[in-house]
Amino acid sequence: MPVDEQTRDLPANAARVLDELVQTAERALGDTLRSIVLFGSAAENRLRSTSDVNVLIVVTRFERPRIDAMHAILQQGHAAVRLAVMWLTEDELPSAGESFAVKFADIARRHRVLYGPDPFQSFRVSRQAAIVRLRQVLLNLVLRLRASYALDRDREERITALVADAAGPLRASAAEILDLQGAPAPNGKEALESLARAWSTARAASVLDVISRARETRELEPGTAAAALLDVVDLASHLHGRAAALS
Amino acid sequence: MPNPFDLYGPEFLIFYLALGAVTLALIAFLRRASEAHTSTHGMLDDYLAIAYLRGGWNEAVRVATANLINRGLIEVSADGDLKTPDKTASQAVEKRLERAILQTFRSRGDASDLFANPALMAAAVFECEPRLTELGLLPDDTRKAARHRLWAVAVLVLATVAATKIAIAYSRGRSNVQFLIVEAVIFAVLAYKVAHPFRTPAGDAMLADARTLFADLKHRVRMLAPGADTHDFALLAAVFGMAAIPSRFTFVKNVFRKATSSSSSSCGSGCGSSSSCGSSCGGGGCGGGCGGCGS
Repeated sequence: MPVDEQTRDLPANAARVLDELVQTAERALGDTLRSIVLFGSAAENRLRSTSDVNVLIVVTRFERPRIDAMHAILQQGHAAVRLAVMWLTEDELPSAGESFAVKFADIARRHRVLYGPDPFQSFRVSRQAAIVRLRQVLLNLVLRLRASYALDRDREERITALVADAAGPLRASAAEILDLQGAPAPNGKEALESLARAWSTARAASVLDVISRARETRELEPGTAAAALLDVVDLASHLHGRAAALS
Repeated sequence: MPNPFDLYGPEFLIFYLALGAVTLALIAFLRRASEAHTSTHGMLDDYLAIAYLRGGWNEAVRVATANLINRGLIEVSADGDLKTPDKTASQAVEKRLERAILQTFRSRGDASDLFANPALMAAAVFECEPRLTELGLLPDDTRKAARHRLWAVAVLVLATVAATKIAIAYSRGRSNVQFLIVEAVIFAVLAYKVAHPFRTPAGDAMLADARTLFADLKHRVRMLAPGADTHDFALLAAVFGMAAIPSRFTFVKNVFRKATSSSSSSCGSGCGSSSSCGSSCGGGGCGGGCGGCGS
């Protein structure tokens, strides 16, 4: 399918950058290019002004002259629409899936193929690897956010950015938990809403609202960011507990 | 319809004003029509080319210098002087203009030196102008000649009308033609500006397109941190000018305000002696270019 048919519903600048990216990649990477995949919120056409446009480029080999020829479009794409490209060789895909099971399960759930065959068509992560990685991701998130709170609690802008950036792993993890429980949600946001309600009906609405606002505006009411971050830590701990209970 | 050359002085001045306005409109229309086919597609992939397209060579120098400071390759002293801390830094950059700037500040110097340095002007012109011209975003020699012909025809018409009226006035014993001469000179200068803008219509369209494409970057400036996101910083400065850089990039104010206040003479000579900037400033297409260094 032509790339412009895959991107025409996206905001104009994002569609244009993606079209240019695919055209440049075809020219520059030549026969080393296998697939270009759009993933994350852009794949669902739920981009916000603060969202990254995430793209996975699968190549047969990572060759300097070919990659160098992509430099300008990557720079401009980042400046224009926060284009973020992950580079993977095709033989790394299975081990990347095992090592970063939550991320790649999320990509497999929501992606659009902009060029080449769909690398996720027969992509499977073993249940055991998915559970291990899920626990790792969530525990790492909890530990990292606690450390940041202890160090940066008086830096509201930094804390707000942490709350915003926690949304991605929390939503991907929530979707993965529900998948592994055999009750998949339509998307990561709804998965997180469902698990947050199970965590605390009283706090769920406020913490989800804070995460959304931090993502959209990168600003929270003065004096509220530190408490919001601790709520996010509690929610992540709850998800980690749910992941630990999986077998 | 009365013969316009029979009009009295004030009436003829009004007639001449209308004639001049129509001539300017005609020049603008004919120039745009003759250059309309110079459309181009795609994005400019070089921040210096974008800065040059927006404001000429001195804008490219300004943005390149700001980018090098933001990357830590040039240090700014408390009084706003510049110095390259690492003498080998010029080997670490790819662009000729960036190398030339780093070499300029191997010994401590003032930011106003930037705009009085013929080597930097040459590096900026060499780096940017041929490609922008090749893409049809700046006028090539053929277009410049066509513009000049258009201007010459317009001046000939305006001068002939003025000269005829002056001759008639003198033949009728009147000598109060100073206002008409002043009006004719003003229209000749305005006609030059209208006939010789810095960019082609395709260049204007490309710049407008860049402003649309990078509009979101302008809205994200509060997330830019000094020393980080240096590509984003460079493109922000290139597309929107130094005025778009947030105040927390304190060197912008320290360095470029100082350069602005101390280099008005250097910009004058720079613009006057450079064909590229001469046309850029003359054409009104580079307000940021020469405006930024003191004019």
